[in-house]
Amino acid sequence: MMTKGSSKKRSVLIIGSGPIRVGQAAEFDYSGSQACRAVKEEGHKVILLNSNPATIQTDISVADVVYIRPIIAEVVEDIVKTHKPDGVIATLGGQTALNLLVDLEEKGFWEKYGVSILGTSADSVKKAEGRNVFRDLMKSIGEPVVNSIYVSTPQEALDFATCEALPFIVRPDFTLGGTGGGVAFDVCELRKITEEGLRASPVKRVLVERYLKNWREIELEIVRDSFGNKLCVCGMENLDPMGVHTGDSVVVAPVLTLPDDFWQRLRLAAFRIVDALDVRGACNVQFAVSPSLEEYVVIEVNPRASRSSALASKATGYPIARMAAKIALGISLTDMPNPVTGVGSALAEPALDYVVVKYPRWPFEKFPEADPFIGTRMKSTGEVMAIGVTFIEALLKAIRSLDLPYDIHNHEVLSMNEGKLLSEISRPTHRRLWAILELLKRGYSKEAISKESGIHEFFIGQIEIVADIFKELSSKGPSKEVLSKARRFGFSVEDVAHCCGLSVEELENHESWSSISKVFREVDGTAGEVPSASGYWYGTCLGSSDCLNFADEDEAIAVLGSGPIRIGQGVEFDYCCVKAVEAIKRLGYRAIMINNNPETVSTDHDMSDALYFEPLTVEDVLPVLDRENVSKVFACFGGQTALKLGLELEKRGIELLGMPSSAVRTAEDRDSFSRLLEKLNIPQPKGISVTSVEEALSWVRENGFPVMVRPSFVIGGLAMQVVSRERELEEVLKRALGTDKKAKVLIDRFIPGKEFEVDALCDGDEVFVPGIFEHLDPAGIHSGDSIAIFPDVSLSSRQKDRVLDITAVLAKALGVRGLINIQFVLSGGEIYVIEANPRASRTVPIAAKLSGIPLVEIAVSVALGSKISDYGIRGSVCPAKGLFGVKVPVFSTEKLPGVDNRLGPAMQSTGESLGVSDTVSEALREGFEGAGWHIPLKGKILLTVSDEYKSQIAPTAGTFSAIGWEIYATEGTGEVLEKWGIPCKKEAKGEGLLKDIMNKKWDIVFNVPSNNMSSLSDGFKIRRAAIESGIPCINSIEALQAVAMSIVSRYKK
Amino acid sequence: MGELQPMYLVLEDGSCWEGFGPGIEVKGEVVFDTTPVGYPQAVSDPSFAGQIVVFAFPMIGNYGVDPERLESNKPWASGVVVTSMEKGAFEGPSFSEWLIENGVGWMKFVDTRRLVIHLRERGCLRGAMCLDKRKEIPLSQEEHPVKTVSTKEVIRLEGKRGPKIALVDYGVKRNIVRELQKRDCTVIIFPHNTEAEEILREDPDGILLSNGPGDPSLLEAEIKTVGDLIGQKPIAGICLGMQILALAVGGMTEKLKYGHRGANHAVKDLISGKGLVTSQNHGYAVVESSLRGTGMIVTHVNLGDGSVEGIMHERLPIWGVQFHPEGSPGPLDYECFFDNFVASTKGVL
Repeated sequence: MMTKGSSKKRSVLIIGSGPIRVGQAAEFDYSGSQACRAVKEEGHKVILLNSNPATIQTDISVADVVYIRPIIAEVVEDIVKTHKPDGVIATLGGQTALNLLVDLEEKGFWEKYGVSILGTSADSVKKAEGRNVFRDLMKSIGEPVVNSIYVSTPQEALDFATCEALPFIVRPDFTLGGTGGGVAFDVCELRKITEEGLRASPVKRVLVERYLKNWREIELEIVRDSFGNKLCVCGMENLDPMGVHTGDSVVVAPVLTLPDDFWQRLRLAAFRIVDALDVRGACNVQFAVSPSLEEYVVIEVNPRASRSSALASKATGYPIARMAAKIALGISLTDMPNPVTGVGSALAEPALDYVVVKYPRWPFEKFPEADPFIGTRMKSTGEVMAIGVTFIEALLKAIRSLDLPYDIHNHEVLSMNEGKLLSEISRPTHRRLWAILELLKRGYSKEAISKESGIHEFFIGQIEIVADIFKELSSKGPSKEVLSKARRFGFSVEDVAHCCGLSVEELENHESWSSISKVFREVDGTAGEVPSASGYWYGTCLGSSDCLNFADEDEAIAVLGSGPIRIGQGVEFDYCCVKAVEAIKRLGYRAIMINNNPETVSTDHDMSDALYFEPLTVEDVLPVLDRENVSKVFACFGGQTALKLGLELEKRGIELLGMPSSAVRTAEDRDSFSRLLEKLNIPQPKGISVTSVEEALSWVRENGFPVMVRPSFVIGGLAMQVVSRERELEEVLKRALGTDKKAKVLIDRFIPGKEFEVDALCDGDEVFVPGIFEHLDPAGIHSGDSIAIFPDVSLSSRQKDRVLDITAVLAKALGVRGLINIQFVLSGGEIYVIEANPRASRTVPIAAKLSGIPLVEIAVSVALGSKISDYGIRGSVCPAKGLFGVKVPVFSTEKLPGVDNRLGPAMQSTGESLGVSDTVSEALREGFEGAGWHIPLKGKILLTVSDEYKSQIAPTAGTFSAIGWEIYATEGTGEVLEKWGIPCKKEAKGEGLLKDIMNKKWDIVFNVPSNNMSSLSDGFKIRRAAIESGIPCINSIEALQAVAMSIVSRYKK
Repeated sequence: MGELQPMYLVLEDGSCWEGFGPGIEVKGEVVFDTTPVGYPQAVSDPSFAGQIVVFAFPMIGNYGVDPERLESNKPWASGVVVTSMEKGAFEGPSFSEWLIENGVGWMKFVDTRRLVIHLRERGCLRGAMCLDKRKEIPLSQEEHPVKTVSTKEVIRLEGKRGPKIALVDYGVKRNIVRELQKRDCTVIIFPHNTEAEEILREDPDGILLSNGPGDPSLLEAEIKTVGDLIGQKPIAGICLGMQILALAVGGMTEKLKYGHRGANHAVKDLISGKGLVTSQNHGYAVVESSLRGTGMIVTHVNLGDGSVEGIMHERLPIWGVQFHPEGSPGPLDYECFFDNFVASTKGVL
């Protein structure tokens, strides 16, 4: 046991959370990295296990030993045998780490190897997570819980329903983000949802309980040490009532609508609960409060760092994960200084003098076919946070931060009739807030809206103020009074200009608007009582002057962050931003970080010299740059969001570092990029950029199908598609051009072949490539969704040289001073360039970690005038280290009903795992396991292949057969296999087949779709059935071969 | 509520703070409070008597005033300064209306963050909330505020079987009385200037010295009374009550630069070694070194600035806390204070 005062250096195993998926996002990179640093700070050795290569946590600077390996028992055993750690911390790696901890504890593993569980014990975890035990414990300390029952058959649920009042809520046991649950308003629904829930639960149990319609949901973040000292770091109020998952709720901190006596009741109840559970670290306690404040019930307790603890940390400045890690080491809260101010005690509860709003970011614009309802299943991929002096200011800032393709005025709700609007709020969708605003503008009373939506009248009243100001702006125009009111409440310049009929420039120069300037305040956790040097700032239009009190002589450079986690813009960009900030500091500049995502490491105020928690818009960022005297920014590390903003800032006289805007414009503009490639003699697919359907059709008639269609300035290939027919092309173009009036759409001849990509460094003279990624899936599947091998395995040395040559020529021609990502396709022995992005890409963290070259750091110093050779790197490609890395994408489509999970040019994956080994096959195996695919040595596989690909399936099927797998195939596919002499059982398509998939008859479902896009096709249903029942569903022959190889590699062991 | 007018908060250092208010002009010492909720309780705490309270949390008035849950029968603060005074959504009177009805001045749209930092740096200042910038600032208060807030006559609240407690009212918060009643005590509330003899005539099982406003060292008669009570009965003090206890045994108090007013103060119990989060509202503190040789020892310290948060007599059943164990507003982490007090009156402690 490690106790305080034991000066001996111990070693601690920290378990991370694995790939990003809905319900488990970047928040665990934040908490996990903080934990590693905190333990190191106390002088102990940190051994880290996490399969997610895109994170800061798996950077070698964070831990002493980093294992990017699957988070599974076998790997932990390997590590424990090698390093013999003294202790393990698993409460900062989400549910993944916690489940593994408990699992191994039950097997007596930790005891066997003499590893102490640090922080909250496995026993406490089990008490909090096993719902029956938890309920009994709550009853024993007099805390009210909801009447509920565990069932493992639908009939038990129906029996329970006979003696309880409808409606019911169904929650599956031990799942991420509440997958598979729902609200049942009648008995039929109860049966259906219970069945779904049972399938989703790994332990085949669901909880059925009374549904607390319109109860308020309040969360408390408690930190408790081993001596029983505790504090409530933050109270948070969900705007959305019970029934909407807290991950999908708009959340406000601190709690705004509860009077003190009720708040104290909840706080004391939370304290009794953490005492009863003997929590030693962080704990999230969720309560439901009846609308009239008559009673409360305990909903859920999470004895670990969570999404909410990350939010609470950012909302208050109080680093919960860091303190939890110190507590796990046995340190008392009364012995630690206040982590925000450095003065006073860590036990002092943060006091706020501002309001924080968190808003979820949903992926619905990527999946227009997905069911848009929000409920007990979490669907958002990420979130933003905004800080304002008033709720309205924070809410409006949060909406700006979402980086949505529409703003507050330009929205589909405007054309909805009242009935539709009301249904949008009574059965909430992601459009809820817009619908409320619209109803208020149309004169609906706040009482009626509150009743219909279950949102507390106080908040509807606040939104009504917003609606009234909009109405006043539209009816009266830009009067002094209403303009200054709008400005003070934090309205955006675009929204106001749009409403009162001015251009943005006119409004910016309008006396009543410009006379109120934005001021910045420091987040100190003490409401101004204690001087702080947190360097954590937010802007407001409600202050009279800036409380500026630093005089820094160092030149400041800002890094623009990437905003909320979205498909196509994940945690990898946060890695790049954080590494950039570190490099800027190291080079002697003042590093300014601007971002709005509360889950990330970049918004940890300890990382930068100054953190500005602001929306990534021109009007919010310019005042920051003014105040800090910044004239140079890095817009190349924060993905497409930062890049777009950077281009706007450049127009206002800000210099973009590393990435000349001319390079971006050339690379993003189809015509000029094409001309450049032509000039440089680099082969490319023929293409054109069009603004109308007619233009496209005439080009295609001349050049032929298939073509790749993509809008410019895209994140993760939004609406990108391969199209082979004229009618389809028309449909796709209408959708793509429809999202934006000024939109251009690119049309390229689609070249089938093998794809490669590089992330290269260029200093103007020299170009360095750390390695080439080889994509396993064929061209046509988005590079973010493809299995990728690093370094490449199948290029000949001549082809490799060609890739490197093209990279060097193109990077220099574009004028890049930093990182560039180039994508190639190899077809008919020729290398074509299909895309170039003169910025840090999704694969940078992987390339950096596998090559051991600090790509971002070098990119930063090159942008500031250094040379690549200053880093002692010679030659254009990193010498192979004899190791292969395989990146395996991870999807969350099972959380989004209605979405087709077939892979295509539009990216779908939310995260990735990395397998590393000295052979590709073994690296594949590790990659698959890291992605959560549990493929047995011997098993059953179902093959269903469209006609175009039937002829190619035999060799792979033969491999499976040879290693003892049972092959099942649909009729047509089976016939082909029989001709090759591969034994298989034939299955008829239809309901029976789907049922068998749901019952997990097969271990792998292989489906190569035809080009028929219908979501009613058999293929769609088969793929959906497979992912919803958690069976690996593979779409390409190349990927299936990889799976076969990964199984073969296990025979070697 | 009527139209709001431009108003000014003029401080004795010459600074002037602009805002809007209903036009009620008031004066007093300007102090800040960092509690985000519980503003009706805070303002009705008699310890705020005569003070202008600046709330650091910007949205005040989100919920209304529940007369059943106040700390006295009216707001005692003379003025309230906020960033945003919300209309809220509830039944019953709103916070702003309640203040106006009781003649309490208020201002909104004041940059309270800057004002808090100003007060933190310069210490609490006297000020006037007025319609005219050139208002003169009164230099001192004529009368000790304890005289204003204390009960004028003895009040008896019969309990069931619990001990009989004499509660000396220097400006007692109702939640202290509620905590005693919850423990079945009979509570006899005495005016601040009641003499020892009169209190002892009731033969109470224990004496509780309440919180209250102002400088404790000026309360000579009260200090003498407490001196006379020492050794006779178990005595406990809260806030001003604890300061009077310290003064009665020969200790000293001092004025803090800007006081402790909030619900988040970390305190360490030196006896159990445990930490507590506490509710505080005081501008004066007991000087630790002055307790040497008085028989009093320090039992609690503030983990923020190290100031004295609790004292206890070495031999006698006498102790006090500087913070508010009754919360309201604020945490109830040390409710056991009342259990211990009641136990001591039964000779258990």
